[in-house]
Amino acid sequence: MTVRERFPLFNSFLEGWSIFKQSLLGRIGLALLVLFALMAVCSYIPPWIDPMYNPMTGVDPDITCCTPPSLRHWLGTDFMGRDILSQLLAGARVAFMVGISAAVMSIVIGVAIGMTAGYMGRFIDTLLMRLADMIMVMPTLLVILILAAIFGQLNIWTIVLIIALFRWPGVSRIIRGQTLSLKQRPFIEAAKVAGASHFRIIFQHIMPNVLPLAFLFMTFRVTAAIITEAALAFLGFGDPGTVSWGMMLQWVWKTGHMFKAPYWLLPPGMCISLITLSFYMLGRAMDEVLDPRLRKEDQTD
Amino acid sequence: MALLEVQNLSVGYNTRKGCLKAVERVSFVLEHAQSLGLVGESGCGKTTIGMALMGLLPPNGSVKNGRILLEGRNTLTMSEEDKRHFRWREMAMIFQAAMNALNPVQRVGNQIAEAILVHNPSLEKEAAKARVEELFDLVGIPRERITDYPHQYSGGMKQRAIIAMALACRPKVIIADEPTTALDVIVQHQILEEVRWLQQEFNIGIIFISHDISIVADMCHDIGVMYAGQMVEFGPWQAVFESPAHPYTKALLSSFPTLVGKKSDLTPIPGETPNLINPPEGCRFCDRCPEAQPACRTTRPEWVQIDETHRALCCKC
Amino acid sequence: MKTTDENKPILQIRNVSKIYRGKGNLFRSPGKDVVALNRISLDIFKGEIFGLVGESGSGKTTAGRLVVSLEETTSGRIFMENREVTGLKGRSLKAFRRKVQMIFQDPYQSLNPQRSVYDTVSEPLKIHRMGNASERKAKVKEILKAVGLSPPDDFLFRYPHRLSGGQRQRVAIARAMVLNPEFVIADEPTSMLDASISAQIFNILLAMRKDLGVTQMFITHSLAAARYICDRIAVIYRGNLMELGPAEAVIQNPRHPYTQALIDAVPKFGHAKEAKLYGTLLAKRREAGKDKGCIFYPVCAVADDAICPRKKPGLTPLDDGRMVACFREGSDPEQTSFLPHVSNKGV
Repeated sequence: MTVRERFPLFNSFLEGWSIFKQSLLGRIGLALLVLFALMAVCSYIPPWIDPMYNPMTGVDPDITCCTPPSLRHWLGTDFMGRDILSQLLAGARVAFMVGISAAVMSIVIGVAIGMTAGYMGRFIDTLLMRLADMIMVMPTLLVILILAAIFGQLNIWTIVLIIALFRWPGVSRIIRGQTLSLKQRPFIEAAKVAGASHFRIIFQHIMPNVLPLAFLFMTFRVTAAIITEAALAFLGFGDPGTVSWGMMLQWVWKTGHMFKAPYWLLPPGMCISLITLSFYMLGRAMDEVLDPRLRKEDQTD
Repeated sequence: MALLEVQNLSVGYNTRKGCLKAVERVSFVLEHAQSLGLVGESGCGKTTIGMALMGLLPPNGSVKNGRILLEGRNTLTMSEEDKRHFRWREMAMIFQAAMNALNPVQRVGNQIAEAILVHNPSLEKEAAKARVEELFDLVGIPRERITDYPHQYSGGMKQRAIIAMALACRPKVIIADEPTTALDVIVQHQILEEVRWLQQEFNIGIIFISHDISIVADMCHDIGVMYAGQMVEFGPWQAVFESPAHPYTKALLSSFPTLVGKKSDLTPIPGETPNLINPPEGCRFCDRCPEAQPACRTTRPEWVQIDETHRALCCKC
Repeated sequence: MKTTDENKPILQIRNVSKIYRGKGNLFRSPGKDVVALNRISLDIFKGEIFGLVGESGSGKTTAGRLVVSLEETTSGRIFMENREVTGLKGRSLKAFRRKVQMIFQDPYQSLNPQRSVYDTVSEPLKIHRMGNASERKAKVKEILKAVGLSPPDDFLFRYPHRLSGGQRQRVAIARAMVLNPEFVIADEPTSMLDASISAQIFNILLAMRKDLGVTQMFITHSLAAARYICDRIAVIYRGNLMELGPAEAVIQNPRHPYTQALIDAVPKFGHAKEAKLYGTLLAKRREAGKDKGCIFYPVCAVADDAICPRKKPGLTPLDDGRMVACFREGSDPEQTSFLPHVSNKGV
């Protein structure tokens, strides 16, 4: 027995990877993501070299205004003399944190609710799906703005939680549809005849079959979460204790450097675009990996 | 001149794991107004032959070798224009999934009329309509159902409509690929009777593709038995079924439950069909063959002529 | 042929009907009800293989699904070893599941693609808390060997997409047999498989009966397959039982016009012309006699216009141990069953 046979996940990962490799979009997306991940990891280095490189509180004592790139500050400094490069690196860390944790949370909620609604049907289905409809039509950004106006400044984790709570309905709709079709499949009936409980059927039989789809949707949700957080921060409702790319853009705008300091404006702007683009490309490539038509050939072993 | 002659036909599919040799060196001759059955299990290449004859192979499949001669003309080297002409007008196909071959949003009569008009542009609309009515009479669908949509038809009627469509341009050859697989026995019986009658009435050459030997035996004059992309036995049906020469034919016959005669034990064929991306070097059946000898594994079997019309691809015959 | 008369019936079906109610909605007046099964009664005896033969839409699959409680009966009762199984819930349903298993039609659909052979076959053992991990593994290996997947170690951790159709169906049989059930329903287990592979599956089912003593209900559209593996068969047409009796007798000497038509229609290896023709089927349908008459009347060539469209023939025993629902054979009208009444012993 080989390792591949023993560990199904590893095996399907290898199979998926061989299809993923063929997608140019996927390769570019993955390369970009690796780059951003490196940035996030490197964000710990500048403050460790010198406290003046601390993205939030570090100030170069010799500089009191916005300066273009130099040897000491590779991407220049902001209006207070803080290093832009270290802010950019810290922003990558925040972007990953916000994007992935919000996406994971919304996927977990969405999958749980979607499977329950699809499998249970009837009253529970109607109840959960109407709830999903209600949340789906609420404008996320507006609601967060109102909440921020009521409760004052929001913590970054609160923002993540709110994004997650508003983003599950789309996922749950799709998972519900998938569950509905799986529920009719004979292998579910076979499990029923064997005496399996509802709990067992949902978690042992339906969940493994919807997880790949959920995973695919996660990449798209990451994109949405990063953009939402950036928009919030840009509008001035971000967590004031965190440096995110949206926050940087807000500083540029608030201090009137929008058209005066391209070295300050462009890096965070481009980073937001590129990271969302790369997650999107990754998702598109995974879409191909999960496409049953491409998988079919493998079945004739 | 023979109606249809297939010489050394080989067809391959390109897959991510290499070239799948779906059909290898298949030859047979179909005479005018005769019927020829291709029988074999799933994956033996019988449908691929039908598709290759019609020139309808999927994009990743191609004819690697051989010739297909329709009344002496090689259909493989024809221009696209000629191919379109010969398809349906000289050779038509009744597809396996008849249920899906009709357009669900178009009236059945219109679909058949359109098929006629596409291939005979000079024909008047009225003439095409009359021809459709004639075809419906032929295949035994009441005329008042001409204006129905496919979903209003039962399975058997859909199959009849498909047969009507195949007959629309009065072809010389019809390829019937599992035409009754999805149907119940009684309907199947009626459809087969219909096909038999039409064939005799219009002198059509039929290639009948099926996995069910009993149907092929009922319908066809000559039988070609297919296994793993090769034809392993060919001859008149009495010879093939009553004194089979190839071990695969024998095994297939003894694994088939019947209604007539004494009830006997079925002996299944052990094992599985070989992988056609890397087929075995010697005989493809030797792993499952009760009569195999060491030499079968290494030497490629040659055709053995058992009598004038009966041949088998086995070195033991 | 086995004499089943001394044996105890293991499964008793009494007057079971299944009606699918047509759903109406705002734009469509209430849909038509579809009668999948119409007051079916039959006994299946311990140790036999009972064939239920019918065309598509005859209700044969519905009958199987009712017996394993995948669906609920509209009316009528089903007894397993004298205990009523219709309407079981909770713990008693789970206990019942241990005794009755099912093999599904399509092996490409009935195995979860995400679970290995071991996961699939050991699942019933896990559900019913039988044995510890190593005992379960030994049991799974034993049953895999019994269905011809040997050496079992080669198959334990394979996934369905790496199995052929025949191997998948063997896994499905192993899953059904691993609990040592008393009764197994095989719903067209070979309709998706090639002839040579089908014969393997038939022989496994026969071996299961011989070695494990499993009573089986074999649902099929093929009379030839039923003849090969069944002791007794019942022919079902649009939800009604037409003829029931020892397999060989029904096939060699069918008494109901529908059975005769079925046998006429089967291709007979080039001997179609020599084979005896009953000619009991009309070429054109005739007007049916409302809902009252014999269900086969509209297409029956030998019907009696005086009685067939008006009364429904009951399944009546003949002298040779079979039952036929046809007035030509002297069936009583409206008598639905000659089978004894079953008293429920309770659970």
